[in-house]
Amino acid sequence: MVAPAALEKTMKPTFSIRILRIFLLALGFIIPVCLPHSVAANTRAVVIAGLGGNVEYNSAFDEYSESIATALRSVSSAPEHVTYLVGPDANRSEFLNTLDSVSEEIKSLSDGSDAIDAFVLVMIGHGNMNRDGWQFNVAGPDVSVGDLIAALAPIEVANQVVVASTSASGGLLKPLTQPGRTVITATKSGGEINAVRFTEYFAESMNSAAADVDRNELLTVSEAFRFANDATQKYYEEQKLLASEHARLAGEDSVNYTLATLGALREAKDNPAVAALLEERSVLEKSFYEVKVSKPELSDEVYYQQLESVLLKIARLQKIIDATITNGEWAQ
Amino acid sequence: MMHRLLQATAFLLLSVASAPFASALQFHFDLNRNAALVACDVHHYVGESAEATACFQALTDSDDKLIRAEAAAALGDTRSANRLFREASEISDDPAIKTGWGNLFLSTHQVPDAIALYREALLYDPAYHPARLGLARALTDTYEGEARRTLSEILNAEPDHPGALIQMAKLELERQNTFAARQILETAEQKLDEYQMPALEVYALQAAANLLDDKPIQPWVNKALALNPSYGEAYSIPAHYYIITYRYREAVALYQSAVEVDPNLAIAHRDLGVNLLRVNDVFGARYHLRKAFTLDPYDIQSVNALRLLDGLDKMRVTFADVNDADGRPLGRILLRLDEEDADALEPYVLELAERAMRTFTERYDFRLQKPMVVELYHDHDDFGVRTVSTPGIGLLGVTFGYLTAMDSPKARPPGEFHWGSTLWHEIAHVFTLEATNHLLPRWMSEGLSVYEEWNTGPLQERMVSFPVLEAIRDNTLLPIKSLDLGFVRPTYSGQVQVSYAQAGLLCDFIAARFGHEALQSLVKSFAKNQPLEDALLDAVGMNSEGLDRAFNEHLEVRYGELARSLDDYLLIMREAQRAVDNKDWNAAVRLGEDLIDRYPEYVAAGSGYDVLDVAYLALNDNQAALDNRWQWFQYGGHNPEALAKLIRVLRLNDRADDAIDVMKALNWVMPYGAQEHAWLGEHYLEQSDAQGAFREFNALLAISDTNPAQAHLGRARAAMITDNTVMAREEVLYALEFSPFYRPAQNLLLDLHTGINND
Repeated sequence: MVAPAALEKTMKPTFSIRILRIFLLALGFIIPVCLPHSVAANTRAVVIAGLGGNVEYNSAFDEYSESIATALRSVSSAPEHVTYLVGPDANRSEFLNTLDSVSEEIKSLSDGSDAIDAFVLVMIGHGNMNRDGWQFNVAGPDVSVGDLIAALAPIEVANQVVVASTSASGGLLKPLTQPGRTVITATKSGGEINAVRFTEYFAESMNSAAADVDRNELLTVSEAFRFANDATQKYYEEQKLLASEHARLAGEDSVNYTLATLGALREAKDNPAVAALLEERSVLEKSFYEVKVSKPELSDEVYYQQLESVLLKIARLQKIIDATITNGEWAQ
Repeated sequence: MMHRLLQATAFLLLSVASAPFASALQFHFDLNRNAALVACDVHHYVGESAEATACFQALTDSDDKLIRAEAAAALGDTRSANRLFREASEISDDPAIKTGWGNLFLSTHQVPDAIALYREALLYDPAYHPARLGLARALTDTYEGEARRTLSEILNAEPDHPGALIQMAKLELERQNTFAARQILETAEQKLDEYQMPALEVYALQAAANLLDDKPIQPWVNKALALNPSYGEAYSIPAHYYIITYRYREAVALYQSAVEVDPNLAIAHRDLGVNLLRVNDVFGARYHLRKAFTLDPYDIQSVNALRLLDGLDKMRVTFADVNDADGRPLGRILLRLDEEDADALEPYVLELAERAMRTFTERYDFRLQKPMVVELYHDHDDFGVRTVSTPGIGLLGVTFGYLTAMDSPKARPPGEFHWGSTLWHEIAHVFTLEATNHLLPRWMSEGLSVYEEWNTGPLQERMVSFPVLEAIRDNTLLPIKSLDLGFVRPTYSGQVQVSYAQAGLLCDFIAARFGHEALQSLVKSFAKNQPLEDALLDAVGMNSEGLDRAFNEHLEVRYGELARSLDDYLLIMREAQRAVDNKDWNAAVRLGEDLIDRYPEYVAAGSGYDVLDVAYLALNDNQAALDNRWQWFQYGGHNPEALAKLIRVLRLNDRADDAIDVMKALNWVMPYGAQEHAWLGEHYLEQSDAQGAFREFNALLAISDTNPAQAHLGRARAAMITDNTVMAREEVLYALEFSPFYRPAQNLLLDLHTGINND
């Protein structure tokens, strides 16, 4: 497991914890110091499927982007908060106009209770590099990296995620990275120009319990990236092929931001009782990670005793949450 | 270009130096060789090293650059020799310069450069025999046919040229034509006097001929040592012929004698090291390989083997003692696996190896006398170095008596080979080779292994490839008495594979017609070193020609019609593929069924089953697709992707038991399917089979590099079957440590806690 270098930027805690986290990252585990945002986070998202160039790619891009859009709706307060551009609508002017509208929309809601607290942009398709930089292949003129920078600049949301799952998308990594924005690219540079497999696995992660490492039914950006990246690497390894893509993640908040809910939680996102329980659960989850972080300082016996204690509390509460989701009522 | 290449290599040559006289003794069959050099050669040939050194040393001041270069080369000063040959070649067209330079490259194992230099020398003088002889020597190992032609060119001009005769004798001995070799050697010996050379090489090769004829070698060895007491090649040259007849232990003994006689003979140290590795003496191998490297740092085989030894230390070694059904010990298995592979593979390799040991002990009435070592390499090049000291070989597995080495399933793309069958094949070799002290002919050893793959192995498919069918049709299969040549001296591309199949079919035929006892009888006869014809008469009551006839009749009945209509079959395959490409599903079904009717055992890519699978699914006839894939599986189909798909469909169709059978089969070809291990683990948990569950979840744990929660939970549940609640608690905590919200683990933790509270 290659720990994305950018993840290290999240290491704000004390020195000892920072050292510990470096150690754990080296082991391939990522421990969130903060908890994932609650399900109630209000996300505004845009998903666009670029031009495939042939029937197979068109169909695959449509399928992947639809799956991702559906997943993003599970963390948005209203279905219309996820704009999905596909087919003829997925062209440069429509795309840039949509981003412009989103920017206005976010501004207009910024003072109210419906304020948008996260923005996600997912671009699926083919990309290429020319002398002006990366270009996203859509119907009509391509979207350039300059278009993208200009369109994203006015979007004033503290948490932003941009996923460019296209060939050559590594060329976007530098231009788009900024504080508060997590950027995922399917390739490490603009020189990796072959069609990418990363997209398939990234879309798969949106509905995969295996991607949800901690099984809390909240899929973070980090979990989705790891799942897709591991699956991509495994594909090339198993096929004994030289990997023509190396995905990258840059940004500070990937372990904290939830991209989708999974399983029963997805069905129960509007249930206020569940939301309250999840708040309670997040407190226990914090305790759990605090115990985990203290592992090197404790004997095995004490560590697992403490872990067991908090895990038992989580397990009991989870039973109540599950029963609430299943039965629609509090289960004591 | 070539010049630049030579210069580049020459630069390499500057960096290191060999020990004086560390190379094998090199004879100069050149009647025009400078008298001063010949005078020194004479000392060298008879083992007077001090005198030879002093003599060559004196020549390093010669005005003649060629003489200085030759002297430097003889003294092991490759740097100076290389420089002097280059300088000499710049001012002279004397072919002796390029030839001497070629000899220098050959002695430092840089064969392509040596060949180029010999060819350049022949451009100056096409009749210059020393260059042609050098070329033949350089070609011998890899281009035997060309070497033979090159030698013939010398012998046509000078029929008694002793150097060419000696090289020709070596080629005959490679083919085990000892009679021809001896005749050639006798002629060579008579001519050597004229060249002022002792018959050292002739005696060593006569010893080799004796060895191949199972006669004592010592008389010839003694004759050689009488001429030169430090002539280690008197042992190492015959040792090579033990290697080509797979008698590694005996070869080791001869190489040991070689280095005792000449402790500076680098090549003997190398070959001793390589063959000690083959008999699993890692410590001894390291010592001799290091010695070889010190004496001759140019030898890439020593370097490769030493690098492999570094890796070998990092491999995981486990063992298992195997008993028969009555609890009596049968033997020990030592298993060496790459750490990366070990957790996932170990339980399967051990299971199969134990089963193989029980099976073959009974079938060949032979109990192993030493532990059987099984090694699997996830890097194919490591396996290559392990077996022949060279990466890039086209083999899957090799057995050196009690030691078997092979590719692990990770070494190749999924499904490229059936690792379970390969292991079965190799372990069959362990028994048949050891039961006969390696006296089994090659065809019989390979034939028995293929026969065991088909009859007792984990994949009992009997698909015969198209080249085999072509050979049956074209009547190009070899007669039994020369079948070994198909393995060691193939005359056309693919003949080795055809010979494997032919040998397997032959053993299968003998067992079917005369019973497995006939094969046992052959094994016992060969163990007593009986000739083929006598062994056949005892086993099947006919000579080899009679058996050839009966076998061919059998092949005609079994494969004749298919072989004759092979072109039609291949045409139908192409038409079927076209029908699939054109989405003409009805035609695809018709053609797919026709392919299966003609050759139901054909289960490889492009088979009728593959065609029907695509067509039935396109026609939404899922039941027909499932039936078709199931039939494919029954015939031994083992493409891992298709097996994984079949498992899912069987599970959807509530055929859990059938799905389990396919999962087990999948593990023998591609054991890294996490989902399949999880399912199999669940199956064993349902059966309350803790051992099976542990095996599957251990494997799952080994391949779950991102999230091991499911594997830990499986182990926790398996521990519960054995009432080991302490382990269950540990494992469930490990699971939740990774995935704190993993419901089944949470439930088990709560259950365990309730149990503790209740207690």
